[in-house]
Amino acid sequence: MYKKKTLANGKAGLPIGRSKDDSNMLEALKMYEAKNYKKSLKLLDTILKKNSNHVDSIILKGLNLQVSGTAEEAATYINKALTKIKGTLVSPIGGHLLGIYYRQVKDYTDAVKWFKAALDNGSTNTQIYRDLATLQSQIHDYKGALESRRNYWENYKGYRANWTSLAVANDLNGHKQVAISTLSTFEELAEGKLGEPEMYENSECIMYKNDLLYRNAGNDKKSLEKALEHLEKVQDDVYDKFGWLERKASILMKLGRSREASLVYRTLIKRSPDDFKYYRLLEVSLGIQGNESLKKALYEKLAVFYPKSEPPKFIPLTFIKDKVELTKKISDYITTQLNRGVPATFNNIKPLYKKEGIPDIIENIVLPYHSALSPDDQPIQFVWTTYFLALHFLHRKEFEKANDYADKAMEHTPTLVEIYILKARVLKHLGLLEEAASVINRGRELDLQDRFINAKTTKYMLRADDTNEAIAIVSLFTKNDVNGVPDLHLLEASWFIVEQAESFFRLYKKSLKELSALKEKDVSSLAEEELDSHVKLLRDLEFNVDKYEGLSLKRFMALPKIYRQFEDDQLDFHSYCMRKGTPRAYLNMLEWGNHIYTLPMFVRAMEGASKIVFQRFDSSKISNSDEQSHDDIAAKKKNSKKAKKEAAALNRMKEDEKAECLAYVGDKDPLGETLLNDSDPLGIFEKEFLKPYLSQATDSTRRHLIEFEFHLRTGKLALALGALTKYIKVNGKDSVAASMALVLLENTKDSYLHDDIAKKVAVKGIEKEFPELLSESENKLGFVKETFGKTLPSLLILYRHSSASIPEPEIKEDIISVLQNEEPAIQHSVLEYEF
Amino acid sequence: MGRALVSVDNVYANNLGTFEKIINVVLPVEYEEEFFAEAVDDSANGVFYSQLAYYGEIAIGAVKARLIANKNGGVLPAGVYIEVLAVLAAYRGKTAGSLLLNYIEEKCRESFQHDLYVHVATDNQSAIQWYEKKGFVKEGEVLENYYKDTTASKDAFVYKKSV
Repeated sequence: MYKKKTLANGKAGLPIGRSKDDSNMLEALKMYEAKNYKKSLKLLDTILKKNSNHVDSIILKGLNLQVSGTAEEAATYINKALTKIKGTLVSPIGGHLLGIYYRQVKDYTDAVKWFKAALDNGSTNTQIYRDLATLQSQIHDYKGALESRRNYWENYKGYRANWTSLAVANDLNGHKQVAISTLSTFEELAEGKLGEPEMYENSECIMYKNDLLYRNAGNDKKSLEKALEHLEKVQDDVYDKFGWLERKASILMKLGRSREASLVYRTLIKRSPDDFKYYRLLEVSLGIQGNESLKKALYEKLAVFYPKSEPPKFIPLTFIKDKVELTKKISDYITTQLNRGVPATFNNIKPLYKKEGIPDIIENIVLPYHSALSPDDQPIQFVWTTYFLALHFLHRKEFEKANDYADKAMEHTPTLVEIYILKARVLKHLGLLEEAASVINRGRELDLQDRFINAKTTKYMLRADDTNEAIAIVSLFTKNDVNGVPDLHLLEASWFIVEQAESFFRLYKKSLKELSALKEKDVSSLAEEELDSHVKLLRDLEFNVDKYEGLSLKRFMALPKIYRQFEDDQLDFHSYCMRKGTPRAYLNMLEWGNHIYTLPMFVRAMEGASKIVFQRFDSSKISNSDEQSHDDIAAKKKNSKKAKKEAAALNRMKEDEKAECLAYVGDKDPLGETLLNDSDPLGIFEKEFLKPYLSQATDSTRRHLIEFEFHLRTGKLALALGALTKYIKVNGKDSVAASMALVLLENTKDSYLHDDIAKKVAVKGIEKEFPELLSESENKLGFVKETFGKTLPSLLILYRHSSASIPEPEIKEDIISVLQNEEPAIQHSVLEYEF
Repeated sequence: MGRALVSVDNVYANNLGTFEKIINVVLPVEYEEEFFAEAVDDSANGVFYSQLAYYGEIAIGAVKARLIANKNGGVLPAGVYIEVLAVLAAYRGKTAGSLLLNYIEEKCRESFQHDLYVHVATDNQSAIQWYEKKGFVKEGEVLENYYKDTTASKDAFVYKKSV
C-alpha cells in the first residue's frame, strides 16, 4: 500500500530539533505501518503517560484504534486531539494522519481538510497530492482536484496517468482547450516510445482527446474539420472501432456531409446488423424519415442484405400506414416466428401495441392461425402460439381469456416453466396472489437449478406475504442455505430487500386491522379463561404489529446504505481509471454517479419508507385513546404471576425473532425497534432518503408529492407550496394538483400549529395557482372533485389528509366507486392496505 | 438445429420435478414421493434406469426401470422391469417412446438380462398396441387388482420381451 511510502517520505519534513516523544511516536508509526497495532498502542501509551498533550501520538492512537475495530474509542481520541489543535495548525504528520483517519471513516470533506493542512503546514510529502485529488474528486470539488492534480503532475511527470488526470481535471472544470493541449504535449513526448502493453491506454487516451475536440468544437465548422482530421489520423491506433465510426458519422452529420455519414452508418450496420440505433441514424443521414415509400424501399433492400436480422423486418411495421399492407406485413412477421416456435414472438411485437388498432389486427391474425394448428402434429407451434395468445390477452387486460389460454398451454405441455410464470402473472393481475405463488412454485419445482425462476418464485411468495417460504426458497441459492437474508444484504440484492420490506408493511397493516378488530370486542361478558386467551392474543398481535412495522422500515432503510456504498465505490476509480488509462469510462462513471439516488429502486424504497415515517409522525401527534382501554386490561393482570410468565415468554419470542430476522452480522437492532421509536422520524427520513434524492433529482423526474407531504409535516408550508407549483409546471393543473392545493389550504387553518407567515405564503401561492379555490367559500371539496375529476391518486391524497371539511367516509366512498374501473390487483391492494 | 429433434438425457436431482410431472400427468396411477426420489438416489435400494426424453428443449417423456436380479421367488422373475414409461399426449408418435425403450434395452444388454417386463392396465389400448408393436408378448393371466391408487382399470396384463 501507499501508506508506507508516504509516511516514510513524511519523516523528511519534520523539524530538525525533534523531541524524544517525536522519535518515539515515529517508532510507533512504523509499527502501525507494519500492522502491529497492539505494539504501536503500547508505545503510544508510554509516550502519553509522560506527555498527555502529544497531539501526534493521540491522533496515531485514534487511528490505531480505528483500524483495530474500536471505532467509538477511536473517535474520542481523535476528538481529544482536535481540541488541542488550533484551527488547522498541526504538524505535517499529524495532519496527514488525521486525513487518513477521516478517509477511513468515510468523512471525505474532513479528510480533504486535513490532507490540505498537512501540506500547508510544511509537509514535503508530495504523494499527499494524489490522495487529496482523489478525495476532492469524490466530493466533487473539481476545482480543488485540478490544483492537486497539477501539483502532483509537476512532481511526477514521468507517468502518463498524471497527464491524463490533469487533462480530465481540466475537462471537469470546463477547460477543454487546456485539456487538449495537455494530452497533445504528452503525445509529442511519447512519440515512438510506446510499447505494445501501452497501446490500449494509448487508444483510449487518443479517443478521449477526440471526445474533447468534438465537444469543444460545438457547431463550429472549422473545429469540426479539425476533429475529423485528428480522427482520421489516429484511426489505426484506436481499438474501439464502433466508437471511432460513430464519432466519424456524427462529425460528418454536423458538417452537413450526410451522404458520407450514411456510408459510415451502413458500415456500422454491416458490423452490427441487429442494432436498431444504426438503422434509425441511417434514415436520418439519408434524410428520408418522413418519406414512407423511400423508407420502405430502403428496408426491403436491407432485409435482403441481412436476412437474419430483426431490425429491417421490424422497423417497417412501425411506419407503414396503409392498413391492408400493414396487416400483411405484421402477419408475415408474426407467423414466420410462430412457425419457428419462437417463445419471444410476443415480446418482439409488443412495442407495436401502443398504436391504436394494432392489437385488433394482431388478434385477427393469430386467432385463426392458432385454430388451424394441430396440437399433435405441430406441438411446438401450438404451445408457443397458445402462449402468445395468453400474453396478448394479458396485455389487453382480458384476464379470464388469458387464464384460459395459459391453462390450455399448460395442459398441452406441462413441463414448460415459461407457462407457469405466465399463469402466475395472470393470477397476480386477478389479485389472486396466493394462487399465483403456488403456481409459480410448481414451475420452480420442475428444475431446481434455475436461478431465474427461483428469484421469481421468491418474489411471488413475498407478494403473497409468505415471507418464511420466500426465505426458504431464496436461500437455496445463497451461501448460507438456511437463512440467506444476511447474504442478500451483503450482496446488495435490493430487489429482495424492497420486496420483503413491502411485504412486511402489508403484514403490519393486516395485523393492525386484526388488532383493532380484537380491541373492539366486548370483553365484559368473557369468563376468566376466555379473558386470558383474549389478552394473550392481544399481546401477540401487538407484538406482531410492532415487529412487522419495524422490520419493514428496517428493510427500506437498507436501501440508502446500499446506494451510499455505490457512491463510495467510486472512490477507488479516481486513481484506478487514470492508471489504467480509461478516461472515457471514468467520465461515464461520474455521470452515472450523478443519478444513483434517482434510480427506481431507491425511489421505491423512499416511497415505502415515507408511508411508515409519515404515519408514525402523524400518530405521534394524536394521543391515542384506544391505547388506554387496553392498558386497563393489562393493568388488571399486571400483578399476577401468570402475567410475569407471559411477559417472559414474550421476551423469549422476541429473542427468537431477533435471531431469525437478523440482516447484518452483529446488528443491535434487528427488528428495527430503535429505528421505529426514534424521536425524529422525519429527520431520519430526510437524511437517508430525501436529501440525497433531491440533490440529484431533476425537475421533470422529481416526485413532488413526497416532497409535498414531507414539508406539510415539517410545517414548512412555503416549501410544500414550492413542490406543488413545480408539480403543476410538469404535469399541469390536474386532479392531483388540485387535491394537493386543497390539503395545503386546509393546513393554513387555525387548528394547525404552523407558522403564521408560512400560512400566509401558502395562501398567496394557492391564490395564484387556484384562485377559484379561495373564492369558492362553501364546498371546496366538491369544487375540486367536480372541476378536476375524481382520480385514484388524487382521492388517496385527500383520504390521507381527511379532516372535518374533507370527510373520510365521503372520500372512501369515492375511492371505492373509482376503483371499479381498476384491475383486480389494484382494487385489492387499495382496499386492503390504504384504508 | 445441430442435433436431433428428439433426444434422451439423464435424470438429476434438480430436474426430478420434471420427471415427476410427466409421469403424474400421463399415468392415472398415484406414485409415492419415494418412487421418484429413488431414481436419483445413489444409496437407494436397488438398481434403477431412468431417462427423460426431450423434444427440442422441452422435456416430454420419462422412463424408469428396475433391475431384478433376485432369482429366489418373489412376484417378479429376474430381468429388467419397466416401472413407468410415459410420453406427453401431444408428443406421441415422434419416436420419444422408442428412444426411451431403446435406452432400457441397451441397459438390459449391459447387465446381461434377456427378459424385459412391463405391466399394462387392461384398459390402456394404445399402450397395449404400442408394446405389441415393439415386440412385447402377453404373458400369463390378468393380474387382478394390481394397481391400487388409480383412476383407470385396476387390472393389468404382464408383457414380456426377450432381448
